[in-house]
Amino acid sequence: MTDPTEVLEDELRTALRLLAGADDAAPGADLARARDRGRRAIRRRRAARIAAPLTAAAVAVAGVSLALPDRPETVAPAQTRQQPSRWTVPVSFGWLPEGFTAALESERDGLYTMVARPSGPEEAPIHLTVYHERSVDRPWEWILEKKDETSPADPVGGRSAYWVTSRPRLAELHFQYAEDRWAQLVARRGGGASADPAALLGEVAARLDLTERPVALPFEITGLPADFWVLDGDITDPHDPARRKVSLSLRSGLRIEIVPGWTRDEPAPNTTVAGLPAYHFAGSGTRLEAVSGRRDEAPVDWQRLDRRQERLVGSERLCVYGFQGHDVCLSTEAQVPIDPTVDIDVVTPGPDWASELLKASGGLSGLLRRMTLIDGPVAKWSTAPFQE
Amino acid sequence: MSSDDEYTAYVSSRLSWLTRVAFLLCQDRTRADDLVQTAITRLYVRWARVSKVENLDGYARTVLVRVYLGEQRTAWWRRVTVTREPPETARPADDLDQAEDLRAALAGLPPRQRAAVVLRFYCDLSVGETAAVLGCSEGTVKSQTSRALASLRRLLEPRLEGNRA
Repeated sequence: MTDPTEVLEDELRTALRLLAGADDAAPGADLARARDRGRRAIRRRRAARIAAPLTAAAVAVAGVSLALPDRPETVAPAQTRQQPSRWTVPVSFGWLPEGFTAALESERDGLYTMVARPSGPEEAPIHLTVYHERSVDRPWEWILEKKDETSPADPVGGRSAYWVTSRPRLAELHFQYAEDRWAQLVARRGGGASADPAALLGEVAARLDLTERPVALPFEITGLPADFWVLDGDITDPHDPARRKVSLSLRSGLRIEIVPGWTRDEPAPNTTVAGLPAYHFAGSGTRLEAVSGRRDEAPVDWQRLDRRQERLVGSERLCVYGFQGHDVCLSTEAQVPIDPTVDIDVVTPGPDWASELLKASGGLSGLLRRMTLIDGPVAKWSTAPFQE
Repeated sequence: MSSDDEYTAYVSSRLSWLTRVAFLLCQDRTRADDLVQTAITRLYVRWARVSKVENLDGYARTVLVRVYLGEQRTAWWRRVTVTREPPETARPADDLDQAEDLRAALAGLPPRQRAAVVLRFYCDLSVGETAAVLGCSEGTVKSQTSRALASLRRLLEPRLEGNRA
């Protein structure tokens, strides 16, 4: 009798080949760009190696520096102190066609992605990517070089704008929204309002909201010390409550992850919290070992880096399964360099580590007990999710 | 042939294959192009050392998968331009439906399970080879694959049974 697992595996092989071959479009990766950026990376690494001895000497004198990054000044200092929100976006959708709802998807390294979804399937979503001042990605540099793949668009707010013409199934508009600040709007060509994507995207671009706004999130946490603000985050499928995932990294090494219960990819429960199955692990190691001899040694073993980080004192992970239908994971990270060549004999938690800052309020379990999840559409999310 | 010429010749011949693997991993054509772009850029940076390795295809595939999995980690996330558009094709309706069913089912898997499925059943790697790419134990590959198959079976069985009938 044929093993049903073998049958499924064979059919899966066939189906994967079918799916892989379903898209006949030519590959879009650009070899010339890969070589250009590769050469720049090689030059940067050579320059870093020359500078490294001076840096290492300075560290040896001052001791290992575990200083945390300052909060980027995206607004004037006075406004920052008055700003109640710990996660804001500098640019957001100001106008959208009727029936569209917008949500932030990701913010990382000065790069924000937002999506506006229509109420029905006939319209196509509109994706906004904003390259803020800290963004390391600068796609407009190749946009301006690729004369055969772009065409000038009507100015947006009096500033430069370009259409990307090399992807015929998409309408893609790159434009300056402020001095040396760029953004892009993308929509799939199709029916409804996006039948004339040029006019639609041009209007969305011209009417962007350039006011700093708090990011809405599907939860609220009380009693969180003011030391914590969001460094970067992702919200996957914000408009689909059944698939929505939230992942945030906060200053001092605190991480918050919320995923639908059925996607559990966490270890099996080893404890309970408020009667719910939970997983808990707290690191106690005090030695950080190097895992490779050179920073550019490839490929870096991320698993080994993760494991050595998780075992350190100051690292802790608490996941509760089935919390209001979701799996919620809170974790603190030991604030040590992620450089694989670093070796530290004794790691001691600093006063500004998340593990230390949360001790007075009951640690991660105390934080979890002060957390309330918000079900429902984006419009109901909280714009003040973190409260002292 | 210069080093740059060797790199160009190799990557040109593998670009379609890498793009197909990337597409299976991320389910999005535009993002697949971005993943491949990052992977071939990293390949260029290391070309002087890796061009002589015995299994260059395996190395390129490992870099691509690590780029994809690295995107799931906060510190190394790169931008994605999400389009979520289905692939356009002139294939028969049944084939297109099956591809779309699998695409939707794969999209529901966590990233590492999806990577395990693609490496084991599209790239036909062994458990040990898959473990080396993912940087985990063989036991983890087996459990990730087993969980992925269980999820896919639940989602695909009605269609698979219809095909067999």
